[in-house]
Amino acid sequence: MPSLNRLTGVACALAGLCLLLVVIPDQVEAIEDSGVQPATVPTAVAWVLMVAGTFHALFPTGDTPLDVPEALRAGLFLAIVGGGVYLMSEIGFLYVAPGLVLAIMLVMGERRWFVLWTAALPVGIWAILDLWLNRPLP
Amino acid sequence: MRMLTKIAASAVLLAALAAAPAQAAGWKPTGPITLSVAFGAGGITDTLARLLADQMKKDTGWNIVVKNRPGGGGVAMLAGLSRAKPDGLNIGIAVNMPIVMQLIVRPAKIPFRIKDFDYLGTVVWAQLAIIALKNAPYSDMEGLIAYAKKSGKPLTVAHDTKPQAMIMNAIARAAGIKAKMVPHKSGAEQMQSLLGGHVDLAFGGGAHIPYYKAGKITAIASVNQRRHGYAPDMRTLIEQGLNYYVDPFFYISAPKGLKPEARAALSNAVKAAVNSEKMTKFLANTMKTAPTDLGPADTEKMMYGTRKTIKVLLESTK
Amino acid sequence: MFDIATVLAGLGDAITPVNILFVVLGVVVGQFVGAVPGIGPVITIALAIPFTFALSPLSGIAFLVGINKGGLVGGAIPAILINTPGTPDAAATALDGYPLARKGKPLKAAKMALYSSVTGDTFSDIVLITVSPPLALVALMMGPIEIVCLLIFAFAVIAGLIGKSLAKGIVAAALGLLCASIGLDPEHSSPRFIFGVPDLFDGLPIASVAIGMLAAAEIFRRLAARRKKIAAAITFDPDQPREDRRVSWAEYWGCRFTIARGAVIGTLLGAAPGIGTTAASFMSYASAKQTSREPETFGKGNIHGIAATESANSAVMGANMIPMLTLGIPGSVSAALIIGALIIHGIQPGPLLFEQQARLIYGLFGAMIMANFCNFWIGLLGLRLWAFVIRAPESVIFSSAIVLCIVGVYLSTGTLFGVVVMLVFAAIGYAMTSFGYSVVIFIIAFFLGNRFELSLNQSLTLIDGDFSVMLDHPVALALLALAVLTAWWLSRKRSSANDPPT
Repeated sequence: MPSLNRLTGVACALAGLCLLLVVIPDQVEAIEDSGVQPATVPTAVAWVLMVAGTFHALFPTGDTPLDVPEALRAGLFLAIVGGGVYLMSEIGFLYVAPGLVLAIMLVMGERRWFVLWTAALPVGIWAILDLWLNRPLP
Repeated sequence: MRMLTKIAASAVLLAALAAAPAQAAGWKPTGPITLSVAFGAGGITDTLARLLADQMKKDTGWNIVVKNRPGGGGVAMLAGLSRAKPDGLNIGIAVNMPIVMQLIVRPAKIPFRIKDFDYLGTVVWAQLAIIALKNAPYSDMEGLIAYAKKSGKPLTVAHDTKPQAMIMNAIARAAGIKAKMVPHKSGAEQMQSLLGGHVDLAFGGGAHIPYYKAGKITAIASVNQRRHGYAPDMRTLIEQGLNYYVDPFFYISAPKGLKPEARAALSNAVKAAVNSEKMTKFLANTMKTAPTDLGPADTEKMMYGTRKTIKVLLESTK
Repeated sequence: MFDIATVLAGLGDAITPVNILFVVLGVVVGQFVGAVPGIGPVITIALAIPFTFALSPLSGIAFLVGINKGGLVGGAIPAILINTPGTPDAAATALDGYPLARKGKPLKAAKMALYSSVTGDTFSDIVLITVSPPLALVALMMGPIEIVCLLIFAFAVIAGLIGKSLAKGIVAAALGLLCASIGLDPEHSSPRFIFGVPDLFDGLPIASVAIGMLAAAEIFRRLAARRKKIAAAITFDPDQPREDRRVSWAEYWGCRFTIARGAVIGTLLGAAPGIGTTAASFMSYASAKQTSREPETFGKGNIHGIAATESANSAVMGANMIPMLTLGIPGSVSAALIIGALIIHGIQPGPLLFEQQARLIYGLFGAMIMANFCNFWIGLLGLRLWAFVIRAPESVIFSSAIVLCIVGVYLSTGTLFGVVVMLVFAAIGYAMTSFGYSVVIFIIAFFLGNRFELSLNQSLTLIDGDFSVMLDHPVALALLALAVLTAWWLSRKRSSANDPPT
């Protein structure tokens, strides 16, 4: 079973290969003109990723401080915030942000009464920006 | 010269002020108007838009909200605007050159066309000049071309947008000289390269004016259709026999399909605000020029004209 | 030009109650927004510009400069207290500031940051006021070829921060360069990697990437941390001995070389526009670490690490005004905004400025010195506030912080798309840290990537295949030689460190 550290090297090398063969031809235009091609730097990056990734897969150094349960919880919070941002685009910051703050604190396990006070913070931010500075939030 | 433009501006202002309230009465917005800005907070377009909105608010009593929508030199803002309802509550301010350029070079990637908008007016056109250091052995295009032919060495030219490079390439090709285009990020960086002697020529969009006044640079040609107020002796490229120009305009548009009375009311409000005293002073400070509102019909013509100009440039550099 | 009466009149103009009020206000606002995660001095200046229309030019500009200076001091606070740099310039402050705070000495760390910041700032202001015309020539000397060589030298110095794994460090740098290449290419303005999204034409928003990777990733980590009980974000004993909550004169004096080197690096990089505060602070940090007799203590709460970073990033700001005022060339986004504000007030930075507006300029210098004093005193007062705020439970701190990041990025980028990019980079930052890839190296490569590619394109155009041209660029050659020397020295240190002790 290869170590996780080794696998990250393999992943980098594959990413470099994919960049070189698929993404760059598809997403970077070739210019019929003298001068430096737009793809120059991305191509160099792709080669560096392949070489350094392969090297790392063969001779891994350093460590991987990955904490799987923590990463999963972080993913959960990311999903909550991402959902909040989506709702902001639909309903608006003023209505979503206090709920978002409350949701985060409740998922963290906070059950004390002052959570309600914290929910007032986004309302304050909204008031300053939207009403006073005339810079509307979504 | 400056005095004259001032008097002219105030005359236009008076006329506009007299006309605006009478016509605006025909249409009233049903809610707050959103003025989208094609660039981020803090830049010249942002400030321009906020001044404009303030003045329109004062003149008409409408509620106008300014929103920044940067991305792709205006492509992102106009993409959003073209999808908005043509109810007169959504208008946007952008600059013509980068938009039209993208529309011609990669139309497949742009989700709108020039015809998808109703045009309301322009605020100002930006002055653009070809400049060199004072000690350069030429002071106009003729001398420049003669010098380049004699020396046989390629000229190095700083630029910060594609049309600038295209103009210089077109000239080089027509005159049979060699020119190397050195890309830059802004007018200030071009000045840095020119003053440091790293390039022979640069394009000046305003940052060069204090250096011109201090006698440190030579103004070789105006790249616009007209001469510039700060250097009335500098001839345009066209006057020097090279038939190329660009005219970057800050313009205001709305989604296609405005009711005629809404379009009239909005464009009148724009005209009055553009010619206001505050805007005149601001433009004199920042862009060293006077406000120019082409009005709805000529703004639309200007957009199609820009398309033609860029196509001609593209042809002559192929 | 150096007319003493004008100088005195200008300084006198600065010391009016109204100006003092606006300097104080600017510093307070700047320190506050700098200390709040997600919202930095740059966006605050952008938002504040319309308000300066109503002020006199001097008060208006003094206000903006105050925000800028305050922001640099404030940015260190969250970097030290909760490991989320308020501005990217403070990213290197977190490297040693946060570990020191975790050891229960947050006040000591914050005070060291404040003292070295004010010292670096004052040094570069004095350079600005006394010798800006000759230093302005430095800016002009730096053509595209010199900038490329300077960047190579900067990379060589910062490479000292690549940790245990060389391959991983290189991968992190390559990824940073790749992300920097998204958007229009510098030479042909042809879009790269935009996947049909017009928002990506201008590249990834810098604010989104910086805040996402540096602040939001850490916030998510802290939200997700397993805990039995929700405690304060950082705990320290209120009755701790005095020497743990202050910086003694001996400690400050012990850092004098570190601070001085940081101030010089910051001033030089500030005078040569285009490199920026973040690179300066990392260069200063890396060289402090490399020349230290105990490099292994860096990253574990060494006050030299804090001193190096904060003196360098603050020194950049004063020096940035040199090309800005004398040539009209902005060295950073905030300098560009301040130039815009000057122009709106009818003041054109450039060759005639010192002749036509000498009095105003000396007034501005007076205001800058005043702002440094304010920064010091308000910084000390502010610390009491932050020491109080940080006693709030983690749940409150981090849930508020993530909302502030959303607001800050939205204001900077103008779209929710920018916020989405921030969340994506929070995830990338979290993953990179988890797999042992350096986020710091990534950020530096990302920040310098665009400038490097542009300058490289410019240089290749100018050189046009004839590399003998390089002989006309002695500065560039010297910088290249320095880069090679640094790389050689680092690799020697590296191999000797890897040798098993005998």
